[in-house]
Amino acid sequence: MENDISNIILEERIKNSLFKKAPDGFTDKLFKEIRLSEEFAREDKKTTKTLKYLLGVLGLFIISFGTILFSAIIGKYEAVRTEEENIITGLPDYINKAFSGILEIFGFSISNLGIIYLLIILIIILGFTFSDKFIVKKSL
Amino acid sequence: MFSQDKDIETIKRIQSGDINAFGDIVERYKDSAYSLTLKIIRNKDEAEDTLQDAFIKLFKAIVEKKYETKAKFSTYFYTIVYNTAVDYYRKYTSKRFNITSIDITDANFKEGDELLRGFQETKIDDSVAIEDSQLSPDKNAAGNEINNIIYKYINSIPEHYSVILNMFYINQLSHYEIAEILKIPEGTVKNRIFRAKEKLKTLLLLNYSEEELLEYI
Repeated sequence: MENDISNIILEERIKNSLFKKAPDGFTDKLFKEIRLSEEFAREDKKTTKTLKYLLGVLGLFIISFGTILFSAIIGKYEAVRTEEENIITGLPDYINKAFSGILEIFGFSISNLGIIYLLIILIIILGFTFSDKFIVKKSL
Repeated sequence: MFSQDKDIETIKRIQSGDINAFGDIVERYKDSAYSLTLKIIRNKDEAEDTLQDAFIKLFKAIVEKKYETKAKFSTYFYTIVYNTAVDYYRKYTSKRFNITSIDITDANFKEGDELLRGFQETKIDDSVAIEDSQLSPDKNAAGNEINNIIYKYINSIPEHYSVILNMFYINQLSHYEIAEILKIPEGTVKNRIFRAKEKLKTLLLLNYSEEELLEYI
């Protein structure tokens, strides 16, 4: 019985020795931090939304510009195209010619193989950009 | 004693947009969580910052509904607190925090061991000693001396004891819950609590008889 009492008292003393009060103003400081992090999260959301919008507009612009340029150059080659060629069989040739045409505008000339390499590099860059955006960032 | 129902009710209020309800959780848990953080970090300012981080993590977990109300809230919360403090310790000190660093066997317990090593090297700060004004002056002096011994002992034992003692006595976690958080066997938790207490008793009985202890403390 005595042993039990001393045990209880001892445990009480252990509790008193272990217990430490959090510093004054802890809750206020914490709430400031929480409100700040909420604010940052809201700003982050806004920035991401704006960035997505800008990227969308830029993407649309590039696609439209590309399509117009592509059509113009194809139109130019269409005139000299022989009767038996059709759109499907001639597609790789069109792409090559279109790219050569675009590069010629900027004063560059490139071989067919060079265009294929350039396309592969572009696809890899696009692939990395999308995987970073949609896979890596989503998993964080 | 904090009830699970009360915690769940508060969590539901936070999830429905009442951010101020989080203040109830903070008020309920801040002192006991601070005691635990301080046992790991052993620096007041850094312990405060680490605990702030732990509460922010908890807040996000509640808001993003990552906490499932089926699980016991206090266990969930103290797991966050413990992991945040240990991560901080590992990141900012060269030492490696390891709750299982010393394997406690009967043999090394009887040898006198690490439980008393810190005690012998620690000087007691009288300003933090526990006072008991209900005792007579003589008894009060003896009582204070005993309290000083207990305080000095508890605050000098290695963290793989003090963290477990804190979780058991202050955070009111069960042996099983402590074992789950620390990822150590439940038997080890029980052993360490028992041995830390037994060593303290032995230390006190070196200077006082059992009757004196009963009278003074």
